[in-house]
Amino acid sequence: MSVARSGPSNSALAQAIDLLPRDMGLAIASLGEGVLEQLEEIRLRVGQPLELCWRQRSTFLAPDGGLTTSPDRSLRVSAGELSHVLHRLTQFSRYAVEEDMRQGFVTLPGGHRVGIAGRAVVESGRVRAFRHVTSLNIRLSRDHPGAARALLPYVYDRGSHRPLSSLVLSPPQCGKTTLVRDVARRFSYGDFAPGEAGLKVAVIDERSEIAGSVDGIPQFDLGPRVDVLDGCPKAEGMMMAIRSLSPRVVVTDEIGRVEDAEAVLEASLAGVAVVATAHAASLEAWRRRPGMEPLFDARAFDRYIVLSRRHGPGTIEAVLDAEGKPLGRGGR
Amino acid sequence: MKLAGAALVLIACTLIGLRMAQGYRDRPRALRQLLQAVMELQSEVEYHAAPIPEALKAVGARLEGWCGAWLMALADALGRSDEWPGRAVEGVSLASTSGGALQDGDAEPFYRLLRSIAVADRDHLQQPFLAARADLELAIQAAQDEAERGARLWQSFGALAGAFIVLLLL
Repeated sequence: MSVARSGPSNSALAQAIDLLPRDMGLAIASLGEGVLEQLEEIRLRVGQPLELCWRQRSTFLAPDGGLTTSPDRSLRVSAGELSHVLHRLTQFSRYAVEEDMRQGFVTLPGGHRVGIAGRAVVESGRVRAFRHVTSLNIRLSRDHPGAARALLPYVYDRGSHRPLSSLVLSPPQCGKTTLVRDVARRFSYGDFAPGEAGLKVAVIDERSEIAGSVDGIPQFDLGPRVDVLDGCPKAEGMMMAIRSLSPRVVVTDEIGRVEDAEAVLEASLAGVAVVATAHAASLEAWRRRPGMEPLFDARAFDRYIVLSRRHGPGTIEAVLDAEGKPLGRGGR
Repeated sequence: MKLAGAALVLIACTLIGLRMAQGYRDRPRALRQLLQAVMELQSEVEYHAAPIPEALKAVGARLEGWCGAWLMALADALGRSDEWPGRAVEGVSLASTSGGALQDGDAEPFYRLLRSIAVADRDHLQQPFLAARADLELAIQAAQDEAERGARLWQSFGALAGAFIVLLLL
């Protein structure tokens, strides 16, 4: 299934455009609705053309506000302009986004993620900061209510009346976060199976992308039964939620560290369903990542959902059971 | 009639002297409010890791009077601006917000603090706050010394000037 995805809403796009210098912002805002609705990334690199990515296409912004594929006829980003964006991004407060910047990104209100590249300052083998930021990638976050509709029969067991732990796998930009956000919303509203009541959901939103919280308040509609631990490390957040919020479902994004895997295992032993995402093109690739094989062996997840962009973001390639055997038909 | 006029002149001069003396007393009080703002800002920034505009708004909302209003105006200026904090807040006058109790130059330790923490990491936030607090404490001490001298001088001077004018009139 290729999920027909809507572009970022006007206000969401406005939040991202607001970061940019006035001329750039106006030029992008003047692009046609057809482009704006499908815009996925705005990429700024010092001395290079401003790149706009949409629907697997890459174009440059022309000085007159149109689009061009020629780097020579495009609007170039100066160091001052990039610095402007960085100031607005950090709100003149590097310390406030220090932890995010160490991981190479900052999340904007509304859940947009801004990736950072430049000269890294390394201390004890760990990135401590970026001294010269030379590239920014503004990834526009989008909501798509209904994205998880086709998955619901697989992530809730109507026989035992319990949600099933599920892991959504895909390479970047295939719609993992959009999908788990909709799963959380549907469990919260009780809109997942006829006659079933809503479930308590805890969202551990370490990168503020699932709920897109501003001042702790989710900007995406997640329904009435969702508690959000915004900016909270996943492993710690999952344990906190299980201890104090008594959720039926814990939703989180991008598990990848050994401590995340341990927390998922702990949750599954505590009888709490975990809906999570991970970067991997296939189940086999995910199992080869450090610390993940024990999760598979312990059958911590009942379902593995593999996504791709084959028919656009959100294409469900396969739904697999705890043993990795196919349940659903792929390529939908 | 003459006596009534003389009494009025005496009272007016005394009141002018008292008003001038009050101005001297207001300054250390206003600087203490600024110091309080710095201490509250420190907890917002160090403990909550709030970005500067958000921290200024939070402290501004808690503090009453001119100081709260000034912090809110700074937060707004930063929120609108894409310039470096020092330049962004130049348009916000401390002198006019504090009703003349402070001069624009009195905000310099505060602006220096904002400029320093804007580029600091969390491990190095304390030092700029300590420096700002030390600067303000020195300014308070100086203002207090000046207030003691100036207030006493103006109180006496007002009454004496009134008496002198009365003597000339009579």
